[in-house]
Amino acid sequence: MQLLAPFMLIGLIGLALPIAIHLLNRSRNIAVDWPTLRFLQMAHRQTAQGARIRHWFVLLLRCLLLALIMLAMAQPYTQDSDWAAPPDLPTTLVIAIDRSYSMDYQDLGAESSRFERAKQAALDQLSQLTIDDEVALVLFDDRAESLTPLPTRDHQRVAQLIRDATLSRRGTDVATAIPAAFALVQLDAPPDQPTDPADAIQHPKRSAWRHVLLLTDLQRSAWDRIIDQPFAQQLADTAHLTIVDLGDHESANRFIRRIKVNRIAMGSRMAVEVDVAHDGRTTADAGLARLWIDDRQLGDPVPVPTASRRITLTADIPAGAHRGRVEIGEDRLTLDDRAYFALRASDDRRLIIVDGNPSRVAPLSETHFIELAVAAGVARAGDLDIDRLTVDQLARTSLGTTGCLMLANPPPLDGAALARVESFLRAGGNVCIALGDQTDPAAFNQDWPFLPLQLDRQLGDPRRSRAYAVLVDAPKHPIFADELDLSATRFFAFIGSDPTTLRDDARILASLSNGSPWIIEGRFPDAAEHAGRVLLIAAGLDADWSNLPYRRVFVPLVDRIVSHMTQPQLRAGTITLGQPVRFTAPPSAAGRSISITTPNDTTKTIPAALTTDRRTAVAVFDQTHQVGHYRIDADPAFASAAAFAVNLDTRESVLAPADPDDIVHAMGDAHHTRVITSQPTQLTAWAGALNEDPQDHKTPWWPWLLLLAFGVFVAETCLANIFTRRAVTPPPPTIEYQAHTTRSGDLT
Amino acid sequence: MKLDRSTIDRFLPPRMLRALQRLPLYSRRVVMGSTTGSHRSPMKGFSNEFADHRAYVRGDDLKHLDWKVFSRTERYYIKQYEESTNLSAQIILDASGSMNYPRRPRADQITKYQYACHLAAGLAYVLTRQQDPVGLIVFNHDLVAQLPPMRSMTHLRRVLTTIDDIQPDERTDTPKALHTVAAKLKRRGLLILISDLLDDPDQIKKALARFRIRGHDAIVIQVLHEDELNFPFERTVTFKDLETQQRMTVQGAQIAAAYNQQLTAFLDQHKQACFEHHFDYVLTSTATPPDTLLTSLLTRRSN
Repeated sequence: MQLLAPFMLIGLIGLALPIAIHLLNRSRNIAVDWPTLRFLQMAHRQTAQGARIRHWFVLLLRCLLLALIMLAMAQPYTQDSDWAAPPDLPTTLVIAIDRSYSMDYQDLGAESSRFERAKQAALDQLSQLTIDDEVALVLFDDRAESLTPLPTRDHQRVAQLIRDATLSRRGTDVATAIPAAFALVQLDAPPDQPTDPADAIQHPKRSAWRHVLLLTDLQRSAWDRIIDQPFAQQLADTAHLTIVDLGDHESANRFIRRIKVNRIAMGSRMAVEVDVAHDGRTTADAGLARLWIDDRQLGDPVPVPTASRRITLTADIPAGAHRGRVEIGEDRLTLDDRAYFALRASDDRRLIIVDGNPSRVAPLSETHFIELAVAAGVARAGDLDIDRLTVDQLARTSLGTTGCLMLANPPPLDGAALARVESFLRAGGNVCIALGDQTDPAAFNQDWPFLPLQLDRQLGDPRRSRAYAVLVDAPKHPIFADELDLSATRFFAFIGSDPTTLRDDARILASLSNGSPWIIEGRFPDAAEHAGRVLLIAAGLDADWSNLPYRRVFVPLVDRIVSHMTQPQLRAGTITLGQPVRFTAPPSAAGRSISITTPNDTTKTIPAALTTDRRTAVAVFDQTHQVGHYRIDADPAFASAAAFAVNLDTRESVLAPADPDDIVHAMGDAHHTRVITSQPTQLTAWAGALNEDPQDHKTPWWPWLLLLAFGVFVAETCLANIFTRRAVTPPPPTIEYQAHTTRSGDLT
Repeated sequence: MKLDRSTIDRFLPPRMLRALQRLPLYSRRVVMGSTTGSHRSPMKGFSNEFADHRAYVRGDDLKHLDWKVFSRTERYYIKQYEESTNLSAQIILDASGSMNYPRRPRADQITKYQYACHLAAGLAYVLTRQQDPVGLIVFNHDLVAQLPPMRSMTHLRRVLTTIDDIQPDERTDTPKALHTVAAKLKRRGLLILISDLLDDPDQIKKALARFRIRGHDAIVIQVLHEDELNFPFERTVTFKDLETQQRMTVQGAQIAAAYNQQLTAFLDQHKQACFEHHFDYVLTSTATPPDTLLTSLLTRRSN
């Protein structure tokens, strides 16, 4: 126990006060001449021992009361003795260093980044170990990597590993680091035992003081899993855990949370929406945001807002594949001040109409009304390249990578045609399927994997004994955005489908009055992000099953469908660091390879393999550990983009710290945990600061002493009151005249 | 020592004289006086009370010859009668240091000795008034003063002068004083012991037994101060013994109960001793007016 204000112990001189009062009271008592001390002596003998004990007890209580008050004013505290390494035991230390990219933050007034300070602190701790102490090193971000398989006495090697440690670009998850460090610290073995890591867990542990030193910036997001869940019970091993907060709670960070690339109306104008986020303090001058395309700055820089807000950068961009990035003014954490994207811009507007049941009589053709409607939209038709194919031609024709493929009442397609459609979708083309009487639901469900839901069977009556109205489910969708008068439209037959089988990425745009979906939009499942859309129309766009072609709404409806499905797209391929990228292709592409060139110009080749159902060839690239652009060199069967971009997981950019008390509470009592905060930013002050237990971890005792003093005060008051209270005395002898009478022989 | 009027007024104020004017003090036992009086004597004399016959011897007065017996038996018998005698009383007054409490009495207080003097003066007055000789013995650890029994008013003044001149002092030895008095008294009489009896009860009991054996009647008046009976002290007090000059510091509130217990036990011993010897025992406080006490005492004894 130590004292914060030891000079207050001078007050212990006050202990003489009750003693002096006691002695003074004895000397100041009343002097009385008394006839005889006979009875007093006898009474005193009767009560003296108890009274003496009571007097001394009360005096003791008074002295204790004063001593407790003085001691409380001296503010005693105890430092957790658990943290002092026992002098007779060697130490097994695991140093865990946070290498997430937020550790690159350079605090105000700091000589170097948090990561460099963490390394220096680790080296300082290492230098204080003795030759019997064992040490291990763990570097962690959202994964933990043990750089030493076992605790070792080779301190020089560990020091070199610390010096060589580099930052990652990943986020932090301490819940992976602590179990790894706790497990590693248990693997020390007695000197005479072999140090094979595989057998270490079988060996008896040496007698040592086990300590885990966690050097991190204490971000709240890194501790979510520990604080929000009962984490302490998950740890099988116990050790002393010291968490050193290298962060400055006054930190501020400005970063790009997300970007989104859009095309502005028609043409080559591109708009990049940038969500700029501020964490912590904001600065008046946040710099400018700039857009770079293929290493050339395009457009005008835009001032970065001083609060979290979305800004838009615009530029003219030619068609083709591009690599772009957005940069904002650098702050103390520069890694998250830029975001990358890969862009493929296309100006082609192409409509391929496949007539599923061609006829020499034009009105009997499946595409007759469609073509009429498209032709009616003169202005739009002028921009469209319209191709017409039959089902047989479909298998032999290259569909390209853009535009819309409209399948009007298609029959079940053969493998080649179906592969063409799938490739077209994977490459980014859109497919519109108008079902009709040639639709075989069972065959479609089995062979057409890109349908947004499972087809059921034909419903209604083509002879028009029944009629179904149309209900719009997505009035804000571009097809139905402006009101279309579908009130007079009636359907007599259609291909029913089960809404419960709707894919997660699909939605129903309109339904018939019996609840069966009519128009459903979805994406090609199990494909890259840039894959095309699928628009399924449950009843054909001809006059066989509805009166739609004869209604005024038909032309604008078809026009909107065509416009929506042939809209030139900007596809910005962006994924988060560490996220795997899947490349899919028809089964025939199995065995072929994809070459990917990373930002540091390292090329990696990935072979494609068939999935278990042998319907798709898949290649997965999971080494997205660098931020930047990745170039893709793939077989056309994969219909992949030319590049994709990898960006940071910006949750790590939020530097708001966790509450140390929450951390200690989450670690539970079974694990001795302390959090050292407010550490100096100067490297030279590290060694001393780490060894000095900060005040936060001192257990103050003065409240308990005051409480105890209050209890003593109450006891003293009660006892003094009881002791000074006149005891119940027997009645004094009567003085009434009493005479002996021989007759009664009695005393009265 | 010349006795002035103020001394008489002090010890025998008119109120006391008025209260004691008609009250007698009789002995409950036969006493042996020197002259004829109103008290029964163990001797045969010539009072009205017939006692016995005895044979005539030459020289007997013929007027006591019982002629009726002579006529029946033709023998000469002389009638004998009980003798009435006077009461020889001795007032034994304690003048030890303990009787000097309170040492500095307030205006409305008197010391135990002064209170005892009032009692002694009143009793001496009663005895003198009924023509009984009264003597005085004053003692502490030894006899301090003694006056032989006499029955004149002059003697009463002498008694008052004597007790007024004595200043209570020295230690008490009541048993020794009582033994000395017992050795000096030749005739049965009445002993009036006025003391605080702060001495060994067993020794006092033995001394009283000696009086009893010798046929004396006795009245024991134990005089204590109100403080001794009630022990009003609460705080820490240093008590100084008036006789031994010893000091003792105690917490008044703490020992009050034990003190009262001890005192009651002590007084009970004296009560028991007097009861066993058929002596009157009176415990009084200085707060009780002396005339009230004497009136009560004499009234009780006359019934």
